[in-house]
Order: sequence, then structure tokens, then C-alpha cells
Amino acid sequence: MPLTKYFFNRIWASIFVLFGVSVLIFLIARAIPGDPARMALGPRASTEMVEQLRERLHLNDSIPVQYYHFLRGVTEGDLGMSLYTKRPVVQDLAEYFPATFELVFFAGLIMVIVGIPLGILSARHQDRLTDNVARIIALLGVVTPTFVWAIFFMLIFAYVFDILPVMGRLGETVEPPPHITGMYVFDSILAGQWHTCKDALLHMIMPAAALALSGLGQAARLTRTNMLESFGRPYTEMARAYNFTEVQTSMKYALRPAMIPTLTILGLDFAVMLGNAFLVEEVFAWGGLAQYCVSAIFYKDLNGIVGTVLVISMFFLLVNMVIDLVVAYLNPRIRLG
Amino acid sequence: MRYIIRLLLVAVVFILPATSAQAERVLRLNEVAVGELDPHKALDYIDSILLVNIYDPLVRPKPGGGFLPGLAESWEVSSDNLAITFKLQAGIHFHDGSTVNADDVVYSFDRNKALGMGYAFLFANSSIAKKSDMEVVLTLNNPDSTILAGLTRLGIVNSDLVKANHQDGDFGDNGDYGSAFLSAQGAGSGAYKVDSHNMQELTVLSKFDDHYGGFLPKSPDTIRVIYVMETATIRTLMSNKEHEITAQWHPGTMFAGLAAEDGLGLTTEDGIAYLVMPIHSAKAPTDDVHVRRAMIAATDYAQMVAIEKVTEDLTAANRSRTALPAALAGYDASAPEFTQDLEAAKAHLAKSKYADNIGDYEVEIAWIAEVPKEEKIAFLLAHNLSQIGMKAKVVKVPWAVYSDRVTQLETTPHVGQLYFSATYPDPLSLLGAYHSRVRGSYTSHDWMSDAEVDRLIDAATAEMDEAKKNDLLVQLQRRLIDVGAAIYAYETRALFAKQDYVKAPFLDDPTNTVAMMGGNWRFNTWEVDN
Amino acid sequence: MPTNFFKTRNWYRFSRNPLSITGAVIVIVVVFLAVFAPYVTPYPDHSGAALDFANMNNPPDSKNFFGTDGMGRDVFTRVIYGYRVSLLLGIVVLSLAVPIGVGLGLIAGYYGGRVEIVLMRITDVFLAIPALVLAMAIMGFLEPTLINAMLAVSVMWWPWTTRLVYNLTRSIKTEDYVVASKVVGASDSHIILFEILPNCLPTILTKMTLDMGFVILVAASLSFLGLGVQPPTPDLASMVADGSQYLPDQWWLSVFPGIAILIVVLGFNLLGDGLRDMLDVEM
Repeated sequence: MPLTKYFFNRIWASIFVLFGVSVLIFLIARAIPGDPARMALGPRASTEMVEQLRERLHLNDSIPVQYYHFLRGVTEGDLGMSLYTKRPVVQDLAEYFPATFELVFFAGLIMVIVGIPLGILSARHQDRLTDNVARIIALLGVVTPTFVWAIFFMLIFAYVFDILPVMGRLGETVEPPPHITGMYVFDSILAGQWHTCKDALLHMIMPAAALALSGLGQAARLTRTNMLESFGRPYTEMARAYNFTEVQTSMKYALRPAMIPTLTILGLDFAVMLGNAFLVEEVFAWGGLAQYCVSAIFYKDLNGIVGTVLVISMFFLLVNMVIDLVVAYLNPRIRLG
Repeated sequence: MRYIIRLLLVAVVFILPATSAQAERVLRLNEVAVGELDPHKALDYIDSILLVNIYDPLVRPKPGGGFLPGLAESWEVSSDNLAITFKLQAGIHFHDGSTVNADDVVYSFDRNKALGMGYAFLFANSSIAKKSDMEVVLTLNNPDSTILAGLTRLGIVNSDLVKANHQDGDFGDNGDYGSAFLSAQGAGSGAYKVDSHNMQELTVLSKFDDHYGGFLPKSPDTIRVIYVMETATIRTLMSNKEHEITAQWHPGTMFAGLAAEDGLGLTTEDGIAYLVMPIHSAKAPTDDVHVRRAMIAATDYAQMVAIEKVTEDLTAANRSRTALPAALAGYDASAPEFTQDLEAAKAHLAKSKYADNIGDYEVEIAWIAEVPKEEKIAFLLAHNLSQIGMKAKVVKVPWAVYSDRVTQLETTPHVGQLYFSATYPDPLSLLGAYHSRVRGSYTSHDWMSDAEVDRLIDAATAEMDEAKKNDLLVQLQRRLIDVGAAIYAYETRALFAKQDYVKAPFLDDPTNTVAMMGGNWRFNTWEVDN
Repeated sequence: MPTNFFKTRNWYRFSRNPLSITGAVIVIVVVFLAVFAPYVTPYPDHSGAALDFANMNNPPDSKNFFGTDGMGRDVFTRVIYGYRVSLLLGIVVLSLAVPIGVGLGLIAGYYGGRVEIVLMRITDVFLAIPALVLAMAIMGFLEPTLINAMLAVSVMWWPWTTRLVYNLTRSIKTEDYVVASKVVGASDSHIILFEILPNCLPTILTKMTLDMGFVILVAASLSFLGLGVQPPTPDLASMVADGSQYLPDQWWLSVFPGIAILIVVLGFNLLGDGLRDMLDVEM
């Protein structure tokens, strides 16, 4: 199937998925216990105030009618007012998405450039010391909750040694770079402010590393398993027989197919981190989307929940589409469909 | 000259590496996200702190009760108690330099009522009108002794500035009533103005030199509020001297750890909050007043207080003696401290209609998942109840579920937990919650309907004479204990860790405490002496 | 298992690596401790709502070698009891979610076309909704019991396996031996079950043993949301999560349960690797 047609089909399907997600999340958000108006107005608000707000939010209408109001808003680029921040959801998303995306981007980078080589190393030295050490490192990453890594890093590098900034995205005396993407590292590069860029990167190290560790462990483990798998395959044996060097064999014939499961999981992880980064964001005072999403859930902020989930879904579909393409590239015999 | 120095300072800060010493006086604090900047949506502790610093009210609370002039230099109550005329101080400026006048007051009052958020419920029975450029008249439907206390929470906004920033919205001609604008920027006349605001991350305020109230010589120039509650983060910042004062919501063990470090100390805000455990009065077996009295007598108050022990010298709770915390007007200081008395408890139980079969009932004690120390309190009470032969079940409930369950009589637990504090400086801020009219919410879920309690609340609300009002309030407190509305476990002492060089009036002398949430955090009365 | 198993090449391969043996020993010991918790712990009643104000927050000593918690309970006892809930949760969830996920992934990947579109887009919908939101909503309908928590986690879990197996299947079905058996006339079910599935197994096994760790950890967020096991019943992940607010001063509250999770997941992964190596030899 030609690539353009594949894209067309995939985007078409994505719209349906998004529609499905929006209906589902719309219902789910309303199934979460608690009266949103009461939660927003605080414990002392009078019944009249609560009723007035419910009316303004169309909460007294039936769910299909509420969904109609929501869809009408979407066509105008309006996702409604957040009951958590008490301002438009679109404004919240625009402010918080770049912060989290930047964090997730660097975490993803660490996963790939550390996790995959670790797995290769493990596979090539199977059952030897290198393998065992690499496996233990990978497992440590997997079994320790992300926020424990976050706290652990903070205690080591900020409390005991005081070499990395404790929290935030920039130092107190550093002005944020001009707003282009909302991501400080990229904005400061675009503006040529190297001092700011360095500061932003320093602030990035601990949260990104903490966030990356569990995915890094998975990537290493899956790479190891699948490379060992490929080593035993006829084509790898063949390559060996043809006197390809060991490195060539591992890279070209073992690594390529072995990457398929690793990339699949990394793709999922990458998207899921957008929502799962909240504890890391909390520890490092990183005002981001993940924290916003969790708070929205706790405040039963209906519009906030729907808005963040839609953004995460869109990102997720995009990443998965790319991963499916890469998988097809790694094994050209796969038919895209 | 001042500006040149500022400019130089800014330049120096830019040249020096990020670790250099602060040339300005900075006060850094942390709180729970989100920080609500809009004065008419402000609800919680941090919202209140922002409110009292960025905005000025008509009247301010006075330590020990009563009111001080704010934007209003004087006020006069009509003989029928149904109208109050406020005369505004001349020459007070907003942060943009324009003058505060009657239009701003009227606009702010109407805006708060129309939005229906924050503390709008305090103004439900009143309206406001402009009398002259510098005078407004507040009209009440019924006499209301809490109205001045309510007005301490009404921030006056710059109406011209906000109107210029109205966007489309639900409020007819007023569009969104400036909601988008005021959630991101300040438009007040308060001692500090907003430099930047990210409600999940950081709010930066700086001194408004023109403020009518003035500053102390060492008042902070810059306030930085970070929205982080992670214990390890705050612990690290405090130890590194990168933080001046903590929030009060951290676990006691963190405070104990910080207290042991050099240059750091613990401090408390006393007498404006307490732990109330409302008892369900409409569900078996606690629908019998004798059972409720038995539970109140069985509670081990000394041990409850001991749970809050932080260090050898400091316990973050005081024994309570009545249905009010000590810093509020009308506090019944003559009442004896609550004490455990198992014999009396058993005697009460023997008088109840459940005397023979109390063991058949299971009393549900709820604790809120987000507040871990409530678990200990719940299990302690369960233990106390078992000492008089009652059975109890402890359940953990997340806040969202709890606030939902207490709206229905059937789903409300037998015993709840409520850290209740005076949000506006009037005892009815707390005691008003017992009126049978307002049942079924987080602050009121004992499901009590007692005609005498209702009568005393109504009478105290209508009573403008302070002494007579306090007398009614004392009667009310006694009645509440007599009908067994709740277990008043202890008075909380809000605990903060701070650097020794931070000074604030209420921290040094408890008699300076005002009984209003955030009211003690006016930073122009604080000093940062480093 | 053949009677002469211990003489087979498989067993040789398994036993040659000390790590595989270590893994097996760890799993056996931990399961033993969990099952016999009342007999091996010093204070069995501390697994419940015991309150001991005299011994609150004691650091590790000879009496309580993992220290005591904020209610004066022995952390060692609670860690061993915590294994019960955590292991049960992990095993039940994986035995529910993995077969469903593998089945759907095989079908979608093998048949392609419309089947693939429908199955994979449904999977996308489930993957796209954050697990926490899903759990919160499930909580709206269900009582907070361990069984319901298991159901909730399983609902969150299967799409991951589906996507993994789907992408593997798409690749494997292009291999020569699969194409060959199709040409020879093997039925679809034969190809799926005997050609493709065995080739997916090592990856599935690796992912499953990793997931053991993730499932145990997810219990912490569920417990925080009020779903799943309720206090005073201990589970390891909640102990880590709740204890972490007392770092660095009361480090024993979170560090020991954390190490306990580490040990058991390590055990399962080493065991899984050993089994994987055995499978490898068979093919």
C-alpha cells in the first residue's frame, strides 16, 4: 500500500479513535464520585451557589445534551472552563503541555540512548559479568517507583552534595527565554541565550533521569531478550557463515528485528509518561500537564479531565503511528494496512 | 535614585552566577497548588495569603476581635442595623497609580456576588450602592453581625482596569467579568503587586512602594510562593537556606528533622482551628444522645493531643474545652478541659436505648486518605470506644468520595474528621455550620436538627452588641456539647518551620493573631533580617 | 514434566547460570514467607490495626529490625504480610490480562485488514485514557475490595500486551517458515498457535516478569485512590508510597518495603530469564 494512502487511512481512523475516546472519557469523568460544582466552590458554599454553578456548567442537563454543548465548544476551539484553575482549559493546556513535553522528550532520549545499548551489551555478553550487572541495573530501574528515584536523586545530588538545582525549571535569577514553543531548553537555543539554556538543562537532569529509569530498564530487558532470540535465527547464522564480523552481525541482523518489541513498548511508554510524570513533577515543582491532569481528577474538574485526556490521546496516536511506520521500515516485508 | 539602584541590582544579578547571594530581601514560602489570584474566587489558605497582600479590604480584622480601618477610614451603622455607610480614605492608589473610589468598591462587591464563588455566600442578603465618589452604602435584608467580618475578605479591585479587560463570557454585558484577566494578573492596591503567576508552579510578588499602610524597614522586597508540598524537596531547600518558611501541611517528622538544624526554628499559629469529629445524630446507634455523650466521655483527649507531638518541647495541638478554638470572640474559657472518663461514659451508655445491644452495632469512623495522621486518630477513637463495649470500623475515604458521601444522610459515616478553621474573623464562621439549614456538607454533617441550636445561631447572627452576642455564643457552645454534636478532639496549632531571620508579629506574640485564614500573613508586617 | 527433567539439556542450560537458580530460590522463599506469614513474623497482630504509642517511629533495632511505623507497628511483620497482597495482585492480574492481550494481539497481527483496524483502534482507545482516570471511574461503580482492584488493573493492562504481540506477529508472519507452512496448507489456527506464538513467547515472558514489578507498584496509586486493599492491611507499594513522605528522617518506612519489592521482582525476572534461555534451546 502506498505511504500516502496509509497515512490517509491512519488519520481517518485516528479521528474515530479520538471521537471514541472523547465519548468514553466524557462518560468516565462523570462517573467519578463527587459533585464538581461543590468541589469547586469549597465546603462552605451555599446550596444556591452550587445550584447556580451547576446551571452555568449545564450539569443539570442530560449527558447527551452536555456532550452536544461540549462538541459545539470544540468546534469553536473552546474546551470550557476548568474548575480546578477556574480559567479556560485551552489556556491551561497551552501553558502546561510544553513543560511536560520537554521533560518527557528528554526522558525518552535517555531511555533510548542508555537503555538500548545496555540491552545490546547484555545480549552480546550473555551470562557473563557484564550481562549480570546490566540486568541488575535494568531491574533496579523497573522495580523502583519513579517518585522514589526522584526523591533519592534529590537527597543525593541536592541535599547531601548540593551540586544540582533542587527544583523548578529555571533558577530564581534566570529570566525565562522569549516564548516560542514554551519549552525552555529549545526556546533559549532559538533565542541564542546559552546561559539560560545551560540552566534549563541543569534543572532537567534529575527529573528526566528519574522519569527515564523504568522505561530504560524495560528497553534494556526487551532488547536483550530479542537479540538473543535473533542470534539463534537462520539469517544470523547465515551472516556468521558468510564471515561478517560479530559487530556487523549483531547490528545488522540481530538488532534490527530485535528493535520491534523494544520500540513498541518505548512508544507506549513515551505517550504514557505524559500522564504518569505527575509524581516527578510534584517532587521537582515542575508545573506540567501530568500534575494538572491528576489534580483535575481529584477536583473532579470535568472539562480539565476531558481536555488533558484528549491531548494525551492525540499525542499517543501520533507516536503509535510513527512507531508502526518504523516497525515496517525495520522489517520491510510487513505490509502496512 | 532608587530606580538606578534597582537597575544596578538587576544588572549584578544577571552577571553573577545563579548561586550568588541575594541582594534583595526575599521571602520564599511553599503551599498547596493551586494559587488562586482572583480575589473573588479565593478560598483556601494560599488564596487568602495572596488576597491579603495584593488587595485591600474595606475593613481589616483587629487582633482579639473588632475591626480596623482598611480602605474605609470610618463606617457608620444605621439605628435599625440594616445599612452601613463606609467613607473611603482619600488618596489611596492602585498598583497602576489610579485612585481608589466608590465605583471600585461597588464593582468588586457586585462582581463577587455575580461570580458566586469564593465567599460570595457571605453577601447573599446584602447589596451595595454608591453614595458619593468616596462613600458607599451597604444595605442588609436582616441585621447581620457577621457582615463586617465578611467584608475583610472582599478584595477591592481596580474597576477601570478590569472592565478594560472583560472578555466574552456568561455574564451578559460584563462578559467574563474579567475572570481570565484576574486569574493571571493583579489589579489591587495591596502592599505587594504581582510580577508573575503560574498557579501550579510559582507566584512572584514585589513590593508596592506606594502602599498606604507602609512597610517595616526590613520587610521583604520580593515574595516567591512555590507550589510544592513534597517533603524531601522542602527539607532540602530549607537546609540549603534557599527557602524561608514552610507550609503547615507537612508531616510532623519533617518539622522535627528541621528543628534539629542550625538557624532553623519552628513556630505556630494558634487558636484559630480545631479538629472536630462530628457524630451522626440520625443513624443508629448514634441517634441516641446518650450514646453520643458516652462517646464524648470515652475519648482519650490526652492521647489525641500526644499524637501531634513533634519534639520534646513542642506539640502541635492544645487540649480543647469547648466548641470553639481559643482565639475567637465568645470563646467559653470557663469550660473545663475535655477529659476521658470511662465510668461516666459507661453510665451514659447504660441510659441509652441501646444499652443492652450496643455490641450489635458497628460505628463507622472515617478518615480522609489525603491526611495520613487521621488514620491514627480514627484507630485511637476506635480503641476508646471498644473500652466501653462499642464496636467500631475504621474506613479510609479519599477526599472526593468523602465530600460526596457527607451530602447524604444515609452515606455519612457515624464519625467524621474535620480540621476546621476560622476563614473570616467571626465565631459564626465555625459555629454557623451547626444550623440545621446548612446540613449535608463537609463542614456540617452531624445531621443534627435542634431547635435551640438554630435559635441561638439566629439570635447571635442578628445581635449587633458584642457582649450580648458573646453571651449567646457561650450558650450555643454549651448546648452543642450537651446534645453531643461532635467530639472536639483538640485545638490545632498550625506549625511552620522557618529560618531564624524571619520575623512576623503573630509569630513573636500570639496576642497579635487575627482569627482569619491568611490574615496573619500580610508581608508588609513581616521582616526578613538576613 | 518428564521424569528425567533434571538430566535434560534444558535443566543443564537453566542450572548453568547461577542467576537463574538464585531467581528460583528467591521466588520459592518469598512465596513460603507470604504463605506462612503468621508463623514467621514476630508480631502477627501488627499486620492489622494495632496501636502502640510508646513505640512510634522507632529506628531499626534488635527488637524491630526494620523499625516501627507511625502507629508503633513492626515494619518487618508488615513487609512479610505485604507480600501476600502484592504477590496475589501481581499473579492474578497477569494471568487475566496477558492471555487476553496475547490472544487479541495474535489475531489482529495475523489477520490484518478489518479485524486489525477494529481491534487495534479499540486498543488505542483504552491505551489513550490514562490508567489513573480509568481506575478512578471504576471506583465510582465498584466496592473497594482486592478483587475489584485486580479487575481494574487487568482492564488497564491488556492493551499493552496486545500492542506488543501485534507488532511482533506482523513481523513474524513475514518470516520464510511461516509463509512456507501457509503454502503447504497449514490452517490459520495451526500457524498462529504453533508457528507464531512460540516465537513470541520469549518476549512475552520477559515483558510478563517485568510487569510483575509494575503491577505491584500500581497498587500504591490504587490504594491512594481508595481502591484495592484498605488499611490497616499492608501492601508493599503503599508502604513505599506512604513512607516516602517521611524521607530522609524515617527512611526505614519506605526503604525496607522498597527492597522487598526489588527482591521479589528480581527473583521473577531471573527465573523468567532462565526459562527464556531454556525455550531458546528448544527451538
